[in-house]
Amino acid sequence: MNLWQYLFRRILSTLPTVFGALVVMFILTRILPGDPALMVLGPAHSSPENIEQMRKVMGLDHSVPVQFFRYLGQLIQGDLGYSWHSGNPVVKELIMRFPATFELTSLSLLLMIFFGLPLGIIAGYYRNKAPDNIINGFTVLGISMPTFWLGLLLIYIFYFILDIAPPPMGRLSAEVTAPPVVTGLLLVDTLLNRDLSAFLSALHQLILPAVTLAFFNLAIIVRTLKADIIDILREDFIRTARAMGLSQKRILFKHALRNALLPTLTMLGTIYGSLLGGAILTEVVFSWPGVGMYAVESIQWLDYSGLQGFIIFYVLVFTMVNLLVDISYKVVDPRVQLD
Amino acid sequence: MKNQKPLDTESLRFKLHLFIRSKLAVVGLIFLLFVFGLVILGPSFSPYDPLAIDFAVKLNPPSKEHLLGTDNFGRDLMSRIFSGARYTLLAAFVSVLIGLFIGTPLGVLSGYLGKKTDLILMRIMDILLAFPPLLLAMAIVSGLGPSLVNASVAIGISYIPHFARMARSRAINVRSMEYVQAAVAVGAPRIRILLSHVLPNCLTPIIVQATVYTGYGILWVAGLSFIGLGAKLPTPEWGLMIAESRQYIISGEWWVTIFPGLFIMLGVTGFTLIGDGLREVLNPKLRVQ
Repeated sequence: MNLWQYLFRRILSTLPTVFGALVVMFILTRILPGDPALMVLGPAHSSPENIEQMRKVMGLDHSVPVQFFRYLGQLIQGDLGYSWHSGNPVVKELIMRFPATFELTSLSLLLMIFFGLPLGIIAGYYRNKAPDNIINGFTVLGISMPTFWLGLLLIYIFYFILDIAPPPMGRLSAEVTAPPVVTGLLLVDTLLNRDLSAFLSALHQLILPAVTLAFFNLAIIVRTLKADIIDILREDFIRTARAMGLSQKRILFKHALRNALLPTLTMLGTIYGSLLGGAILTEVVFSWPGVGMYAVESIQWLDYSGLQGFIIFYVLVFTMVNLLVDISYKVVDPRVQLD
Repeated sequence: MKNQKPLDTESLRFKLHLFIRSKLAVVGLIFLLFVFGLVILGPSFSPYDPLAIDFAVKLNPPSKEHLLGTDNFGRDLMSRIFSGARYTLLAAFVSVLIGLFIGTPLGVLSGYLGKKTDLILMRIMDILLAFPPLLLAMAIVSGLGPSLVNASVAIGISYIPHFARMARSRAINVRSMEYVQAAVAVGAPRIRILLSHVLPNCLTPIIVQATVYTGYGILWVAGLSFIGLGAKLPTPEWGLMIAESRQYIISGEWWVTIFPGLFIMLGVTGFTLIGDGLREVLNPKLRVQ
């Protein structure tokens, strides 16, 4: 089967899941307590006539199934509705905010891979010896720390005590001017604008949230990779390689790592999913204006369309990432057949 | 001299020996005993009333009178943490029980029966899995209304597909075992085969998973409370305590946020280490040769 056929079939097979997710989410958001019409108007303008009219404008006067089909119709046209609490269409809001989340999760992912792979290999290679025990201690700590608490701890240490981190408020220090929006990614836009001080400020603001977010998943990556390396080092082909007198380094990096990467790669899809989830808490702690923060605000404001938009957006991103992961198997392991 | 029996690697005694030999598991056990002590006896260990407001000692650092300091209402932090253990921990337990008791039967049925049942059940599970756990919980809680009980129900629902998948993959293995086929051959009723042959043999990995997920449950409960979707003020739930005192971290009153977090870590570490220990004991492949 060629790649395009495979892609087409895979995308087709995710449609029922996405549709099911839509139904579940629609039901969930419709049982939210409180009247969104009242929320939009505010208590000062909440006469019964006003509320009645607002409900009509918001489409809440129809039955839930009718609302659902109207929503589907709009969705097919790429319209996720209007976000009442921010006064913008949801799509615009998500597009505006996603670069912030993307920057945060990407840097986190890079940190995880950069530190996770070597630590996992070392722990697997020196199993039950000192390096493994130390790394093991760190991973247990990493797994048991609440993300939001770690964020606050890092703020305390690096902002309050050492005073080397910026105040945990947003993506850019108040002293530098924001670059014109090209990609929305501040690290890219500041460079396009040739404004080095703004670039450094953006990077400075990004480091603590990215480290906070990376910590939990770093531990998961190290643990998976370690278990795989241990299994693979027992395999016959490793013994053969040893018998042939290949160097330890070559065996570890050329033979073992390549085979251990596959299960770790499988994890990456799930991990990116949990990164987006963890980003919600991290964004709240660091007042980071990303999509996670938007989801929390939407819930607080009973903003149906905002929450729905975020969920659909998330499910799509998650599906895409998993698809990319499956395709990248083939690069790592040519034996894998796409089917 | 007595005849020396060969070492029975499946005996309870041998397994206990393995568990104790793994020092980390014992550390985990000690952590858990401490935390369980707090769940049961927390309020009686508390030196002060966890809700008593006293502005005279507002935001006092740890001292002899208040070992862990006081919060912005002058409430004794140690009393609040000790009395609050039961909220966080019980909510985590409830969530795992929901996932376990709904997810496991669904997974076993799905794996054993296969065909259409499997297809439909697993599709539903896939849909649940397509949501990030925190987001699914957020959506459910905002539907049911924020409270600690609803938070644990929401987390429980997001656990269901995980338990179902684990049980299903075991059930598929067990289905083709000879003892199950023998039971089918002698005409045992299906319900009996499921309950007394398939289910018990699927439980081992599920017990490990339940232990580890209780630890994660503590994190989710605290996380939901942190964003205002869990326990309500002035409950001394650990995540909520951190949320309440969040702003004081940038003015240097560290103890109000740091201590509740340390206790969360203590609980989660306990469950994680025990889970690792159990995995090693129950799965012969992982044992150290």
